[in-house]
Amino acid sequence: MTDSDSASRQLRVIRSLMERATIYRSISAPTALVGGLLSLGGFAMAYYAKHHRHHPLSPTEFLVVWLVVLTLTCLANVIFLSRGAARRSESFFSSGMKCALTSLAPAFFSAAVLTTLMFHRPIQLALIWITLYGIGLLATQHFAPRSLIVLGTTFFLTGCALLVTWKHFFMPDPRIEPSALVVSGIMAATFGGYHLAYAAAVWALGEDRDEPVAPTTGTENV
Amino acid sequence: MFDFDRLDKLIHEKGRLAIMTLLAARPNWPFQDLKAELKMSDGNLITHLRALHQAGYVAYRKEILIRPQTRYELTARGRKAFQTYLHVLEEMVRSAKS
Repeated sequence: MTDSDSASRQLRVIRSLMERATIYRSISAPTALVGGLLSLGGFAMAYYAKHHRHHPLSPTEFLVVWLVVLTLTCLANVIFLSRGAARRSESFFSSGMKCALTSLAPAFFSAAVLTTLMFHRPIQLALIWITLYGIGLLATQHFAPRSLIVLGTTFFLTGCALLVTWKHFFMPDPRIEPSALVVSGIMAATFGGYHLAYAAAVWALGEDRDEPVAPTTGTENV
Repeated sequence: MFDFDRLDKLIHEKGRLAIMTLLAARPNWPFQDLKAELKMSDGNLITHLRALHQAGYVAYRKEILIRPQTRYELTARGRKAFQTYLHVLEEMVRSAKS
């Protein structure tokens, strides 16, 4: 084997190891905090409509409220991810970002299509969003940090469980659908509660640290 | 003629190169994760990490979350040395092609 072959082989090994080891967090902890709080805000809107406006959210209003929550959360995510990329001197559209987008796309596209078909049935929309969001996050598991995989699994299992049991839990009479307030409560508990728990876990476990710290001087455990 | 002395001999060892590569890919690594990823024995991994630390390429910090663990990361000097090593390898390949 020539030195050039050996060098090429070394470079291939390095590339493969780096690709395997690279972790990309597609949802930052600050984004989860913002998204969680906005979801609670969405529930507050539904509560206000029911108890102060005395007219519950219509299916269209429900859709608009939650699309606004989604849009604002996505904007926050773009801002936080771009700041993180700048801090690490990386491009915003890094290989990790591209992998995350291509992994998330099928589930999110399916959610968008189903939303256009079922916009008049908030409960079904909510359960589809919860389940497909979980599936989308799980699609990134090969390069996602553990906390994000747990978040995806939790959404997925909750969505599946609710799809099977929601009629028994929320609506004993199958002819009537849960009110927008009840459905907003489900959205707040999942998109709100789960994201807030995720943000707290990321900060508590120190997973958000991406800045190298100064080298230590001791050698006793090295 | 390519000057092979430009290759950092400390990094140019299979085990240490793998360690440097992993450390370059993530901000930091717990010792147990490094061990699992590289499938090295404790003694072997510690020996390599000690050599890299003594050269100033690797730093570590001890922390206690659920249980005590040691996290390793590249220092600025280590990152630069790794980048230089990569450039030299690339040059080696380019010069052989031209």
